[in-house]
Amino acid sequence: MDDAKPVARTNKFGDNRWIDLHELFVAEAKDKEADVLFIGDDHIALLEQSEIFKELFAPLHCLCFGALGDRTSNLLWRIENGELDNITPKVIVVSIGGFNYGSSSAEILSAIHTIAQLISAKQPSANIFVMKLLPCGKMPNPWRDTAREVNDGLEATLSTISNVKAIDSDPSLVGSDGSVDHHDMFDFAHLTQLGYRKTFEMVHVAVTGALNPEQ
Amino acid sequence: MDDAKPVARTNKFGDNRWIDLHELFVAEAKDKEADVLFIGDDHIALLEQSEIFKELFAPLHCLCFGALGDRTSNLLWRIENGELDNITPKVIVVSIGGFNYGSSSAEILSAIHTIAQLISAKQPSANIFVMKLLPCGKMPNPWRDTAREVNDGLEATLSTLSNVKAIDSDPSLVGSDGSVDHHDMFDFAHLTQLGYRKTFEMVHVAVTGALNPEQ
Ligand SMILES: [Ca+2]
Repeated sequence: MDDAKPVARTNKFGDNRWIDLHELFVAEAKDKEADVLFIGDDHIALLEQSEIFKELFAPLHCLCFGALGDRTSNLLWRIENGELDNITPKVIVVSIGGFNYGSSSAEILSAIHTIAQLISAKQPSANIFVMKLLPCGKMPNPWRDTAREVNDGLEATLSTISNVKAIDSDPSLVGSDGSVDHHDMFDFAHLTQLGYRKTFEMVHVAVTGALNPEQ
Repeated sequence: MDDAKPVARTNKFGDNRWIDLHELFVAEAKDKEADVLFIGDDHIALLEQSEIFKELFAPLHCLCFGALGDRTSNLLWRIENGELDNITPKVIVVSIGGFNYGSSSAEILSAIHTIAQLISAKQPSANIFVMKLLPCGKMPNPWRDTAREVNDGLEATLSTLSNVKAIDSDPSLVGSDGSVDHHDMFDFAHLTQLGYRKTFEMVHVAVTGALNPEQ
């Protein structure tokens, strides 16, 4: 898998949806001022439609550059092609890697490192948070093991990049028997309104802390 | 493409998310009483997370059996494997076919006919509504042409099934220049909160009309 190489998504529907979405993000970066930028995969795409986003994040002046189904390679392509140019957010939150099926934890960690390094180079004065991967699947499974290995290695992987930090997702999404509840993830992979609340309240604390460092 | 044959989704993440979701739906059909059942693809999966669902549909006693990325063949498999057994909703709303990329309009129409026939056979006393396909892509494109051909042929295709009707989606999702606005579809394929309001208010009128025929 070329996890750490920039790859555009194939136009499988023939309707240019992904490229047009990317171009929308590039235009938004140019036209709108944002203090906080979320960028990444499904969890960011659906975040923008969530109640907690409207309630807690929209007032902070946010942009959300999320694309359903994006892998690390696709996000790399998007960033290399302008989504972080012409914008200087104070805080950037990244969620990526959880949809890199078929990849090993080492491949995903290396790809996340490449992405974080690129974002840091483009945005040296931003506070950059990389989210740990969320659980997936109803019960313990090999892909969740891969995600845990990524999460265990994330802090060390990012430690050489000064303005980048790993940020925890809520462990309460996994019950004591190892199960994920469909009230938190409606299809055992994507967050419900309740799941967003549990997961992104912690992100909100980190973001507001970074926006108001003297408090 | 085997659009009209039952096909289970591959377990590409290795976490059984799709089969576990299907089993959740089968269990919900058994354990919960619902007057209205929504079943289908992305538009149904995300409907359940929307504001309009909470506001207008949840009070009607609804279940939502939506799976992101499902094609007609996948929905056929789910219905053949129990999602409509042990449940007798008064109204069933189906949204499927819009994610059958690579298929022709004739293949999609034939697959929708097969699905509607199966639902009608399992639920002969239900009012069944099959939603026309939503637009996709920012600008006019071949996949949108395919969707329009499906929509143009849908009523004739379903006319032999006495308890099945085609139901319009809102034409206002497409502007006078042929464009779809990202305020209606956040990635030119999936509905925003505003897009859900525009599209499913018409569905709500049809559903409540079918629930209260004497009014
Ligand atoms: Ca947006």
